[in-house]
Amino acid sequence: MLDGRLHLQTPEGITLPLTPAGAPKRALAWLLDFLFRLIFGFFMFFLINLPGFSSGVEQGLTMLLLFLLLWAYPVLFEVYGSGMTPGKRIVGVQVVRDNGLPIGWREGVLRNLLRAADFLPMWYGLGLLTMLSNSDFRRLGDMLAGTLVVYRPQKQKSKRLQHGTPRELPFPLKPEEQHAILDFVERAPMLPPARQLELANLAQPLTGLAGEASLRRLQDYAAGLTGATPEPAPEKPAP
Amino acid sequence: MNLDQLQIDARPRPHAQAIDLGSALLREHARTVYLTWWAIWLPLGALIALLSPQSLLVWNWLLLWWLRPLIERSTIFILSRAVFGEQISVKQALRAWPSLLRLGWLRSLTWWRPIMVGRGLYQPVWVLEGARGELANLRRRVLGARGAYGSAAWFGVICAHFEFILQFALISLLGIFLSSAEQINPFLLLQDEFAAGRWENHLPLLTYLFSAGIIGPYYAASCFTLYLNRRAELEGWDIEIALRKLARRRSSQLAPALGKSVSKTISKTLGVLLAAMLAFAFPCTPAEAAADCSKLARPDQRTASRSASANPEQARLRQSIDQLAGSEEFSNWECVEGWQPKPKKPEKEEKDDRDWEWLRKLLNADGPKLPVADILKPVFIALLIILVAWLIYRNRKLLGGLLGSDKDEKGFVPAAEICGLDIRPESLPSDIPASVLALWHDGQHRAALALLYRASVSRLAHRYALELAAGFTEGDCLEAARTAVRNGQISKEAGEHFTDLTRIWQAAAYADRWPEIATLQQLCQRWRQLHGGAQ
Repeated sequence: MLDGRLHLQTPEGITLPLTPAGAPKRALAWLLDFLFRLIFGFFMFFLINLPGFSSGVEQGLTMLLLFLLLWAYPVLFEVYGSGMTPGKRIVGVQVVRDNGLPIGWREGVLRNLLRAADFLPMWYGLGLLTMLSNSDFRRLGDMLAGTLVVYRPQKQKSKRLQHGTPRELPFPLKPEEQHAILDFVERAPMLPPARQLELANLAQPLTGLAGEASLRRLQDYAAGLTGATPEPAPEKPAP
Repeated sequence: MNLDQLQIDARPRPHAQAIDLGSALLREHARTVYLTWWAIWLPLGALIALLSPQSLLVWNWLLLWWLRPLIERSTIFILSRAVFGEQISVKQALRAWPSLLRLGWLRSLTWWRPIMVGRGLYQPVWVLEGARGELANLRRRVLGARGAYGSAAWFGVICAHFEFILQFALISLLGIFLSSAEQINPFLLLQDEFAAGRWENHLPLLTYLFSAGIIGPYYAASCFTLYLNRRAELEGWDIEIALRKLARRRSSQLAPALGKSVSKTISKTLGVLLAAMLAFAFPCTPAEAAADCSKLARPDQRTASRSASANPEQARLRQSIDQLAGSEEFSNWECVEGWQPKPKKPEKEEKDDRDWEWLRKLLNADGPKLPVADILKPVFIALLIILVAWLIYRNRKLLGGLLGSDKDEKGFVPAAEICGLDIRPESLPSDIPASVLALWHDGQHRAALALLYRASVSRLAHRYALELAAGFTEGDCLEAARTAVRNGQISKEAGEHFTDLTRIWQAAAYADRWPEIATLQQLCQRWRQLHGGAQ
């Protein structure tokens, strides 16, 4: 089953799903970073030219600025910004080690040094091809440093379930089946009405009812599963 | 369409991740997809290259670009079958391809071509759903809603850039290898690309053939998974799959389970009863500890509503379950006693107030009105200046070294004493060799040698300005003298003399080995030659 995710197992037996980010998002992040560097570089260049240094000093400072923007910018931001340069932060991706841990100096420096190889023969041609052919969208630098670029986990919006009176399930359900019922009740308002009834009919072995009644019964089950109280929830007494 | 056969996880996901799923799907079926694509793509490219007139060679790739949406349909066809577990061979795909072009080909080749960047999302409406006219419009509107078309369009723009990057990379690669070894120029081939009658005129078509041959299937596959994601979201595919599975599990469970379930419940009940008995026999909480806690009210347990019990046995079972659930072991109610710090804050503040009361009184308006700030300010400034001055004075050597001044050398004061010997010039007799020999003849051998040695050290320190510090040993002095010889500060003879003298002095002073009189006389003579008799 294709999932687009990596399921990492921690020693505690917890599965961490990581979603590697594909070439388009990463290209976008690079473009944003490039623009930021360009703007900052021009600004600094202007500042360097302002005090009227001799041409040698000006040239030296400019070279230093270019060097830092090219090599220090991604490393420093990734090491100190929890794997995110400003562009990556905006796009919503993050560099992590391939075991899910945050990256350190070794990984940050290696993957960015290898940019030179990925850049070959021109404009990241090699990097793009390796990214397209690798199953985790890694470019050469990522392979060497053992890093991944993954989507930052989004905060899940908690949706309000439709109210139902909590009701016990008629027979025990597996966790994934319970999730499916909750999902259905959560997403039912977004489905076309006819499709809602169709799915509710599919749940007949569970509810023993058909159509609208089955849908309402599923809502009751969902309320029972989440432990939601029937009508406007009264404030829980503080422990 | 049998959703149970679906090979991808139908859970709704963000558009970007749905697009990324396309490359995973493409990788699984890369052979078929790419072979089919290139089987159409390459002959088409060759045909265009051969037929286009010489003057338009640079622009003939546009024709290939224009026809691309039709070739993308082959990818959509293969992947749409593969998603439901049906493997299509290249031959089958090629044979089916012409029939895929029936619907919507005119639109995708005319006014749609330049403006619809996200066409990949809408192609399946024609190719797979077979919708046309108003219905197809509706379908597209629904599919493109919630930002899906926007994502597809931006993805199209990005793919166009990827194609450009690959084209450019190929041209640069060729340029690197075709340019001379002395002057590697990646842009070599770009220089003559548009000049008439050169072979480089074929490059745009060639590189486009290469780059779009790689990116084209990628674009089609990614847009196809975006389409699938959108449909799964709209129609609740994942829910349907889960519900169907549930129904199948239930029906397979129901038939044979009746007999088994009764015996299972009996054995389970027995087990639970045994556990309850054991728990009763060994009460785990001591009565004394529980004494206070027992007065507390237990939190009430809420039970969800249940459907009415089907038969008396179920009612009985439920009763026993409720009983068990209400018992000590299952209610999981614990009374823990512990110490907790009292909130003390207000008290402490009061105390603080009292402590600082005298200061407040002193500074307050109640006392004599002293201009405290006016006094303290210059005091603090003066203290600060003193501190800075002291710091500078303390680190003057460091600062002096930083500034590189030569004050240090002038200001160096030779030590008054070395190895316990007074080396100030004024402490020495005027005619050293004479005094030394006089002392020797007087029998004071140690005094004689000591005088000669300290006179030598004194001369080194004062006449030749060797930096001899107070803590120097004889060895240190010797080393300093050798360094001075190397620097040309003192003559070589003086250095040799000092070396000999030091050795004799050390042998006498520490080993009680005394030199011959002749040696001493010779030393004195050399001394006179080097340093002169008098001061």
